[in-house]
Amino acid sequence: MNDINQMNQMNDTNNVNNNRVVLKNISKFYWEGEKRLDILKDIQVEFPPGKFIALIGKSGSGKSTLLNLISGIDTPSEGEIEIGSFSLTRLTEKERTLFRRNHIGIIFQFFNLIPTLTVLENVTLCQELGGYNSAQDRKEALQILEQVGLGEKAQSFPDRLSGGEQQRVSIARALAHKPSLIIADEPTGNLDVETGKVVLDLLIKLVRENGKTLIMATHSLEVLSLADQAYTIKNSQLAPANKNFSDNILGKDED
Amino acid sequence: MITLLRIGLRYHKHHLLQSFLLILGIALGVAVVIAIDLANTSAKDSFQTSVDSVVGKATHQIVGGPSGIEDEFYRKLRIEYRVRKSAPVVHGYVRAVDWKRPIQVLGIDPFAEAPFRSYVTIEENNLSGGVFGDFICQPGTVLLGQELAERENIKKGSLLTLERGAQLFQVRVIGFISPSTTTASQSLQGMMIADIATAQEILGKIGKLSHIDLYLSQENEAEKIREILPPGLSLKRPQVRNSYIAQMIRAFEFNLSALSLMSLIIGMFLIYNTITFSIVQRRSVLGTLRALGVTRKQIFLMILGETFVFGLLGVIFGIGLGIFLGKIVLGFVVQSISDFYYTLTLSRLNISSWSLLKGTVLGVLTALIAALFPAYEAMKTPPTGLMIRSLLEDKVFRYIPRITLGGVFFFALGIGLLVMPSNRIELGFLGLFAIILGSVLFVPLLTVVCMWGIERCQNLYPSLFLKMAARSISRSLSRTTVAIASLMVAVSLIIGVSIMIGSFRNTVESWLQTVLTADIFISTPSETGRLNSFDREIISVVASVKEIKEVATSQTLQLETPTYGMVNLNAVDRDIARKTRLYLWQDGTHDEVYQKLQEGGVIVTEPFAYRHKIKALPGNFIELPTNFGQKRFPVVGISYSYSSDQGIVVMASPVYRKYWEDHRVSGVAAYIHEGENVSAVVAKLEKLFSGRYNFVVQSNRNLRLSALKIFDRTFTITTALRILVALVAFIGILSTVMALLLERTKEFGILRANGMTPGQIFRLILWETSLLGLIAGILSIPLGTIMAAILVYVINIRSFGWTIIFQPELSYYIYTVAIALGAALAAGLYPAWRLQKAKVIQSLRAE
Amino acid sequence: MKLRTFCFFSICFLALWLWIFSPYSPPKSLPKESRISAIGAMSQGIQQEGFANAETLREFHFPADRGPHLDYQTEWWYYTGNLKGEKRRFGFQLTIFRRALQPKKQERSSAWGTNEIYFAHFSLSDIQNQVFYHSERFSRKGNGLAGAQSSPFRVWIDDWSIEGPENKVTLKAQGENYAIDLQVSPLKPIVFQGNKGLSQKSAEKGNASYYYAQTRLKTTGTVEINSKPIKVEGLSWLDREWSTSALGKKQSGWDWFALQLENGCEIMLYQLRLSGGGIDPYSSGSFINAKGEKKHLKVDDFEISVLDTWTSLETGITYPSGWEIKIREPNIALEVTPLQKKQEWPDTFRYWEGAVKVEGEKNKGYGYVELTGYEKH
Repeated sequence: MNDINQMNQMNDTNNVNNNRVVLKNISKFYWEGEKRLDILKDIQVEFPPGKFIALIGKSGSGKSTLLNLISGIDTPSEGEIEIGSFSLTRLTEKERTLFRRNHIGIIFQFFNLIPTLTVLENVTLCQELGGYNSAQDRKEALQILEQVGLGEKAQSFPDRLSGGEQQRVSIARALAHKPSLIIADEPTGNLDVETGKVVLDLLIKLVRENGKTLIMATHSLEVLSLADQAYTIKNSQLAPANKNFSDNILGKDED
Repeated sequence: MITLLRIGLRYHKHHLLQSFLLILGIALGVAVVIAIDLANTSAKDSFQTSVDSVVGKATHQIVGGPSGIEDEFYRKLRIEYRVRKSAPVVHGYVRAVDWKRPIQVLGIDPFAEAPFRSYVTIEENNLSGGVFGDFICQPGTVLLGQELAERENIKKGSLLTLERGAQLFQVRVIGFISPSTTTASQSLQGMMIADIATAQEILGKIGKLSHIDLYLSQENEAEKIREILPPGLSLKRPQVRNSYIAQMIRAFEFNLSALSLMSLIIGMFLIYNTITFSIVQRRSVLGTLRALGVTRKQIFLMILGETFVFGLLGVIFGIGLGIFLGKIVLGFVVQSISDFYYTLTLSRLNISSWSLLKGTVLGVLTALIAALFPAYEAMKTPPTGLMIRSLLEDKVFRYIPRITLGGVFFFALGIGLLVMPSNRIELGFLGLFAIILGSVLFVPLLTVVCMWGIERCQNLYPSLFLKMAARSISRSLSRTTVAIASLMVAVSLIIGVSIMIGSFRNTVESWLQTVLTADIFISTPSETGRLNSFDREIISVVASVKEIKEVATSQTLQLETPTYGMVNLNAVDRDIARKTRLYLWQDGTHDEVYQKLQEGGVIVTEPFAYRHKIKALPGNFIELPTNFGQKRFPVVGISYSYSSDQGIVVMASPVYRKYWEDHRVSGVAAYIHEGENVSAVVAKLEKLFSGRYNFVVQSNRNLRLSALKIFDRTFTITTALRILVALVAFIGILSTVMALLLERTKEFGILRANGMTPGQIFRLILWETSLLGLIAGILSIPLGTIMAAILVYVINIRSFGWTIIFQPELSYYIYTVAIALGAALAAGLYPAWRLQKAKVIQSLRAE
Repeated sequence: MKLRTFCFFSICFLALWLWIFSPYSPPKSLPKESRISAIGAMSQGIQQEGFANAETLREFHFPADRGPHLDYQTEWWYYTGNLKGEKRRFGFQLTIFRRALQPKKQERSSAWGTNEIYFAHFSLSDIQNQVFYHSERFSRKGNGLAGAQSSPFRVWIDDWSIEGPENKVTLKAQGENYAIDLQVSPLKPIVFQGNKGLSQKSAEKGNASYYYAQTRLKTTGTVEINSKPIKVEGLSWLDREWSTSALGKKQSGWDWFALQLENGCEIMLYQLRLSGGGIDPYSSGSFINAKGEKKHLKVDDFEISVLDTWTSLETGITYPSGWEIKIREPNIALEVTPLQKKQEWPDTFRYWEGAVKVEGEKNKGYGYVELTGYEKH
């Protein structure tokens, strides 16, 4: 019962929707013996609501870390993260979980569906965890599945689907509980170019239709052209990426 | 291959806890087997040693009836029949009062000994200062083994207080013997040696010999001796006598061994599970290896190689633990054997390398067999390493009909083996094992059905956790069913054994009420469940107490017979259970049977009738060797009795005295006048005896209690084994649950990322494990009942031959299902705690 | 699971099953036979206090003195003899010893209770084949297994016995493949050796025995060798002696001669050897003439010299084997030769006791010689 109360509390402060993501002096580092390894250093940025923000950078540059910090899966070593009126860094582990459950949709590179649940159950997972399991919820979830073109596979188990299909289920799952913020970590990274494009288009379309904020880590060039804003991580620092000079950026990546 | 094995073992280095549990599982299984085997072997050895030490090198023995052989016959044998290699032996048991245990007295004539018990040789250098003279000439002098004397701190010249037939007396230790062979020194641990004259005096066998040892080199010599034997005496080979006793304890030991094997079988499930998990987790590594050119056979051998290493490690721990447990178990085994079969005076654990070897090979083999199927599975890993999990599970799913069919087959086989008309215990156990195997094969189907049922219930009581838990159990059948099966077998074993013991105890309790009708019972003190004889004069002492209305006496003893082996004879002068004795069959009314008893008939007990196939019909006879040769006694009734699994022959005292000329008694039962207080009379009798005799005077109630105490004592090992089996099962379920859950670390990470709180993770896991436990618990109810029925109706009858009234009680089921649930829940606690504490980010990164 | 795997499983299981319940039989190793040496205990550490000693002259009474003398520790009935039958010569010895372990018998309710043990030596020398048959027996007194009584006279151990009236005593004994069944009747009166039957063995008081002998016993009966009975006749000699302490501390052994001459005389000599070498002055003997009259021989009255020696292959002990005996009064010189060399007891007690031939200028005959204490210490 306690859980439900807290969850309601999280829901009541429902002014997140139109709030921005603010990162204040965010640093993330590890100690390796005496040596400090900086992943992210003094990041100061603000993502406006309802926008599509792309993060570009080479593997291991800290894109995923940054996304994990924003989604509350991970906590920063220093600094503060605010999403709307919430200071994520001041929440407890459990509060962060509930926040995530209610306000954030996550899409992973490796789809990460729950193998023991059907496609539909995967999509309604967040609601069910929150104790909402109404017929209405299920209907909506089915609608979303229809939207991603998997209506007839609702009762299948994830490992029977192709990669593209699985990623589409992930998208449906990320959207089903109507979060205000979608975080996607290289959603096309594990798909072939063609499938990747289809999935990406679908994701962006759904996000824009529903007016969600989307923060996506990617190294797909096409994404750059679609994004409202683009950033890159270099030497643990976040810097705006010039869409026009994307060649340049990627060129350096391949060094 | 070595490289491969190293790769294999390195995996386990990173999964230390699981490897540890695997080794512990094997170790426990092996330990139990070794402990029981060591205890059995040691008990047998102890028995063998005490027999050997009495028998020595004799090729034949002349034995008499309960009263022994007349001295005069030996003189005749030696002087008139000129049988030179013959030695008189007087032996028996007395109670060493200070040591609180029975000790054997071996009385010999040193001058006739030379060819026989060489260890009794009184060597010159062991004797000085006239010890030999004292030994022969001084009454009440004995020799002790050096070790025993040192252990008990006995000095030369020490006085020992002994008790026989309730009378106390002292003997003087005049010297020590330290034989060169270990067998001999072992046997001396429970023995004292006296001159034959002294032994006759100590044991109250004046003028009687226990037997005469012979050393005959040719069979025709034996024939000649048979011709001159007077009636009542017979010539036997000592091995035959040994085999009587070995025969007696065979069933007892067999039951223990079978139970110990159970722990190994449950350990087998554990091994199977752990190895399977390790293979599933290493799919990609195995795939890579295959891609790199490792052949299927090499993969197979690699898995077996790993298992072999684990098996060996387990065995090493198992041997240590087994020896430790063996010491404990031996005490109980010796006690039980002494209670029911034959007085054992030694209880030293003989660490036989044969037992250890047996445990080692058994442990390693079990591990290898359990690993065969997983290894076979690993062998089939495709070089891509990508084997879709659900495909694997689907395969299991598809196999369910076949597996279930296999279950039906084994179940039917088991039933077939059990109903087969035979009285072999081995077949009974084989049937039991087949039934267990059959039941195990039903588990996948039943689990699926249960989970399906739970999912259906969703509509009634929707719960995400319950659904997810049920789903994950049925979606990983290949692992969960094994866990369920092992827990089920263990739990049903507990139920089965509990019901059996409980039913048995109830049966015995109500039987005791029917046989113990007198108010007061008088016997000699004994650390065992068997009685010693004393002189008849005590009857008049008891009868003289005015509160006592009448007394009844009985004499119980063991008779060696050519037809039935050792026979427990019970001669009663006034059947105290005359009106209440429960008969399986009786020739006429109670009074008629009693009358026939007086006329020379006998009542045999159920086990005796079962063993010797005496039909419940009039006109049957049994043949017993009396002092006047073989005599036939008509069987006039078959009664229920639970005091000896060898069976008892009951006859009237006058008949017994007539045929065996033995006037001693071993028990006196007294009825008191109405209105008298039992405990007051008991106190009065005790006062009457004090100082003169060391009798145990018990009221009816106390005697019943002490009988039940012996009963409980007998089942101590069974109870303890039950716990050990459960322990192995618990380790199995712990290891399985841990592997099951830790394998899904990433899944839990995703759930966390999607908003599942740590508390919810914890709940989910506990739901899952308690479902496992619950299924195992529920499934074990029918199997446990079946096992109990088999134990009661097949194993018990075949091993011991008595009818037990089958009385399952609800409490056993509740108790054991709770155990299953508790064990599963407990097993889930650690992984649940670990997973809920784990950082989301780390969980997500898990492979 | 595949059916094949199943079958494999089942077979393995079955095999295990059979194996674990296979009967275990420990390797049997019985200890090797070792010799009982209760006898050893007799010769050492035996208390002598509490027994009577042969210190003074006593009167002999018969038949009581044929039986045992329980106050004394040691006693023996010692028959030796030379026999002839089917043109073969035989020597025999049948001796039954009585020995008390402690002076007084305790009150015992068991018939086996005793303070005395008996042992016996029975030998037969087959001169023709030069074979020495010998066997010994030990037994406790008690339960009728061994004993001695004066009337009716019977001394026995197991199935060996010496019994019957004075004029016809029957000796019965059998070894593994030989036996005797002999009747002996005295041809002369009893000879009381030493000083009227008190035979002093050393200077120490009490180191003496009571000693009488029947020096010429007509013997008839059968000896049996390998189940073949042979009728025999000849002469035997009985020594009866009882004492508590007979040998002095310095004495190492003795040579004893009992010679029966064809002229009807007998000679008995014993020579006590001292451990430092030399002869104890208490060595003595007697000469019995054809009428049965005894003449005591003191140490100076005779002289024994060794002519030959023999070393036993069994025990390695070297014994004298052939003597020259000279007696001063009556003046007799004799040569004594063993009828066969191998007449040694190699068992519990090691000594030489055998039939001998006697040859002299005027005298011929047969006899028995006993040699003790020749083992090296």
